[in-house]
Amino acid sequence: MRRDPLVRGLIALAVVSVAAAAWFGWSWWRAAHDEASSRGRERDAVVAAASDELVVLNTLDYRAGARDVDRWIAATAGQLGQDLTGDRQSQLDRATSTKTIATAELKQAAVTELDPNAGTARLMAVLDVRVSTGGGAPAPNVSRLTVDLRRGEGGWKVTAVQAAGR
Amino acid sequence: MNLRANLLPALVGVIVLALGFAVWSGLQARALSSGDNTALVDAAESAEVSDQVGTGVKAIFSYDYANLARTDRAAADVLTGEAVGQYRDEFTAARKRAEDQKLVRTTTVRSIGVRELRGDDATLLLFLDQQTLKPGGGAPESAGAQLAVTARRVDGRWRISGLTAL
Repeated sequence: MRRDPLVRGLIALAVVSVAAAAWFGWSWWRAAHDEASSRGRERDAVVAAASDELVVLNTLDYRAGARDVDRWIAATAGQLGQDLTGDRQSQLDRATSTKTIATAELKQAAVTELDPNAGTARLMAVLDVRVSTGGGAPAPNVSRLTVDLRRGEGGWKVTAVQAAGR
Repeated sequence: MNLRANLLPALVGVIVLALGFAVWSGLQARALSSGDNTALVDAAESAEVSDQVGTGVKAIFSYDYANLARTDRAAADVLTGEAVGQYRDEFTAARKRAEDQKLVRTTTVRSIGVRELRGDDATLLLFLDQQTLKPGGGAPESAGAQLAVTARRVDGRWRISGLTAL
């Protein structure tokens, strides 16, 4: 038995496999429990969510206003989400009467505050926004924003947006 | 022989399970890892780079027509690499205007965020407020600027290695 090369080979392979499983299992456990790594993950999650949500919040096509305003509502939470929900119809009416088309592109964003336990974050962002009304040419504008976010069931959502005055 | 017949499948089973678990947990660990970006993860380092870059930017974008040498000294002190040329291109015109019109400009940092921090390299986003005083009194002229900065730590001090207006 002990001299059987096949058995010996398999035993060696089994030992190596179990060692590899232990090593990778440990690195998984460590990654999942490491505070630094989870903080880094939350930071990246905040930037990713805010990047999409800020573009959504600056996008509006009066021809599909209901869709766009519902996307605003889905991108937000807290007071901002409630305000947008309450204002939904007046937003739609205004968009239609002014024939507003707005598109946006995120240029850069940075997280400035992050509390992973409380699930709150603050971010600064620079967007290129182009707004046209009444079928006119789009007016480009750089918008610099301070954004608050909160983590909920659907991930990080925008709870406040403020223009960082100039 | 009977023992061998039992042992072989058991060994193969152990190998398959262990390797499978190793691969699975390796992938999980990788998905959880936030890479090597320690912005906001390493609070002390993030604060240090924000502090030094913020102070540097303030100094090189503030000037007094009567004492432009002070701004030059600040620039020589905090800029390195590509930023030296980028700044010179920008500042030559501003400098001439300052002298011709006797301007005093004060730049303050409204917000600063570290986007990436890897060892001795960092990228940051800054919102600047600038107030320009003209001779003969009158209200100061206010303007805002958004700046993407790359920074490198040289001899233990963060210097600005790249400047891009957004």
